[in-house]
Amino acid sequence: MSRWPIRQVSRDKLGDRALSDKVHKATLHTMAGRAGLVASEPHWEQLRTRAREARVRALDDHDALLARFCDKLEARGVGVTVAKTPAQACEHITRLVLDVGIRVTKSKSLTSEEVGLNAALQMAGVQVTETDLGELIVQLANQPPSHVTAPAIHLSTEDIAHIFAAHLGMQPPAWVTSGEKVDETQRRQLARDLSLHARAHLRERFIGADVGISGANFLVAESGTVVLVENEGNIRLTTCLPKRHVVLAGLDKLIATDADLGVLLRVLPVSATAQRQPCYVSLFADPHPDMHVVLLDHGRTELLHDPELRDLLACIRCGACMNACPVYRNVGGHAYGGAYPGPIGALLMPHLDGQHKFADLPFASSLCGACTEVCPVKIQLHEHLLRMRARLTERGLVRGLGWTLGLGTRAMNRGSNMELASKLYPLGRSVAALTPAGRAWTSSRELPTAPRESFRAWWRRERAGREVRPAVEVAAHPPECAPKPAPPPEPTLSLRDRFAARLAELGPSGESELHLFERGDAALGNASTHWV
Amino acid sequence: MQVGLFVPCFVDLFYPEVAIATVRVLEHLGVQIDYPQDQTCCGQPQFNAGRRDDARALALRFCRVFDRFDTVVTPSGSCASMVRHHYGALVGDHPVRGRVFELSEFLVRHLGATNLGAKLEGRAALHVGCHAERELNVGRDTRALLEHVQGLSIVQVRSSEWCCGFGGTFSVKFPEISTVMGRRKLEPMLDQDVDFLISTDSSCLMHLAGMLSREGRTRPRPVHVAEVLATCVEGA
Repeated sequence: MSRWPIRQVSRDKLGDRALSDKVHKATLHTMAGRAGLVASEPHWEQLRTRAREARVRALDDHDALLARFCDKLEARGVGVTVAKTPAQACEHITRLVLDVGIRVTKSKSLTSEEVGLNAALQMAGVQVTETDLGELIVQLANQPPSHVTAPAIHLSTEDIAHIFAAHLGMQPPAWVTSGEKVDETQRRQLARDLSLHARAHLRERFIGADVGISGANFLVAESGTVVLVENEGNIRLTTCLPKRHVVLAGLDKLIATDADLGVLLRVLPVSATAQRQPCYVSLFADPHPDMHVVLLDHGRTELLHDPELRDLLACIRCGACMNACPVYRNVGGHAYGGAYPGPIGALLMPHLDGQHKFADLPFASSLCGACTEVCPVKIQLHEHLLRMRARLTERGLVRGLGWTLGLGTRAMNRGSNMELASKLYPLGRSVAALTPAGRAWTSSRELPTAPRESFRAWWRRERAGREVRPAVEVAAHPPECAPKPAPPPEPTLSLRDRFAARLAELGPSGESELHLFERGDAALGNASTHWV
Repeated sequence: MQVGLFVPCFVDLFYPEVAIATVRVLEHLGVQIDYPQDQTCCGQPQFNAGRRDDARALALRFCRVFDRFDTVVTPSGSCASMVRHHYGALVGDHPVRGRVFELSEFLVRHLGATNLGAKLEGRAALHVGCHAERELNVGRDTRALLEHVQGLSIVQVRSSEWCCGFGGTFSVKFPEISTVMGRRKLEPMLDQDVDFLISTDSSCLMHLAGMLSREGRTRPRPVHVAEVLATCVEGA
């Protein structure tokens, strides 16, 4: 399997400033919303801890939970299959589809990307329609999704208008093609038109579908419930309208109890889309006339028995790590070359699709730790990146800098070598561009100028061998406790202002909710409202 | 109190003024310091590159060199965090691990000093290194120290909490990504035309200053926190 050239691909992506502007805008917006929600949730850290406990419990008891889940489903007549490989999953699902018809509606499923389901179905002559708006957009554009929760995050409203013009026959406004600058209101109007157009297109597909294929956010073993979270309503239509419902989910989606689900449903939307709760949560726990669940292994069982990295299976696919990641923000999801991008993708892909193919991904990180900081289930992502690096290096799967670092280690074995290094630096600096590492540095940065002397030379001259200066009392400078200014007196706010303030606290969309509220009030002929 | 001074290898070689400033600040506060001259590198580049055997050799060496101190101080969040946070994977529970402190946290939490009487006239953007901020959580100490610097105002920039893009070996393994991250980091500071770019870490500054000087820019001036604080000492 050829190696995924992340550096080369990134270089191309970085050349497109507009791409990283779009990804920055969207991810920073979600991050700001998330930060606001987290700040207004006094128990956020406890929630994270409990969410983590729920996931760890699920991994600890995996085998028992799987057996229980399967029993529950079979008891109510739902078919359950475990597919070891992507090929098995595709084959089985294709058969399940062709039994019933050839028209499929699909809700967003990263697992289906992982196994290449759409390609397999299309090969078998099946018409597949993605019904999540973002997924539909990338499907029409013939691109893979570039983010786990926002598949079309790399596209602007204008880009989408072009795609809809080409594939859905929608007439975009003149400014989209002329490139004329317009204000935010017009762009918002276009976004609205686009979604209405997509809705009209999808309605027909929903009604005509023979089979609906969904993923799953969680699989609750205790109650045998398949849980799906969404904002658009397309999952409800995908799962309820067609005769047959097929669920494709990784084995890692299992959780133990409904109580655990309660906790996870509180951290997921905050982390994924900066929402306190999603618009829809679908719980499939009742008998269904024609429902099939396909559980995908694809390296998960092996990872489950890897004590160092098992933690990766705790991921709930919220995408917060990629929103927080400065590398992802600049190169976008396609640069990672797999179904899962960003920090979690860099860790999962080598396990799912080959250590050799994705051996460079764990190195494409500055290890800033922003991912670890936001992970709702406390996966120590950047520390796992370090572990993966060690493992890949030990297995001889990575090259580059080996010689330099090996030499550095030997040189650093003696303090006196530092003096030698300091003497050699001015020469080394002038010929740095002759080495690959030096060239990489100097392609965009100057090397530091050589100082007159190293610190150790200064120390030897100025301090070493001298009488130790008499110690002054350590607390000679007591901590400065500048009196804090008294808090301003609580202003007396009107009910309306208090309401507005609370909405602002609750999240980024608070303001528009207030407007809706007021408009609603006015519409009721109650314009002289009772705001006090 | 005798404190061991740990000067990261590249600070020793490239930025002696940062280490000298650290010495002056600590001595000004009455701390007796010793600089063991057989010290070299903490092993972070090797560790980050996945070369754990090489990193372990340097980590064991570091522990031997600093074993005789109760407290070790360093003007680098990244190197302090390497020892405190990551040495566990290399040397287990060696007692030296818990004795290494980044300069700001040592000043604020151990000495209780926030107002050192430092003076620096101008507007500055502050970049607390990612390991200082997220692994050691010392950003608040750095901010407390800088708040008391007379004449200095810290300007809030959009990119305050973003990684600068250095990332050790990342900077030469993925130089294009590293550079773009640096540019994203610098842009808001350039827009706000700040006088100084202050950081807890010379490594981040090496990368950002390298970019600034390549582009022929003289503003903002990169300065380490230690250098700002050392203005409290006469003649520093």
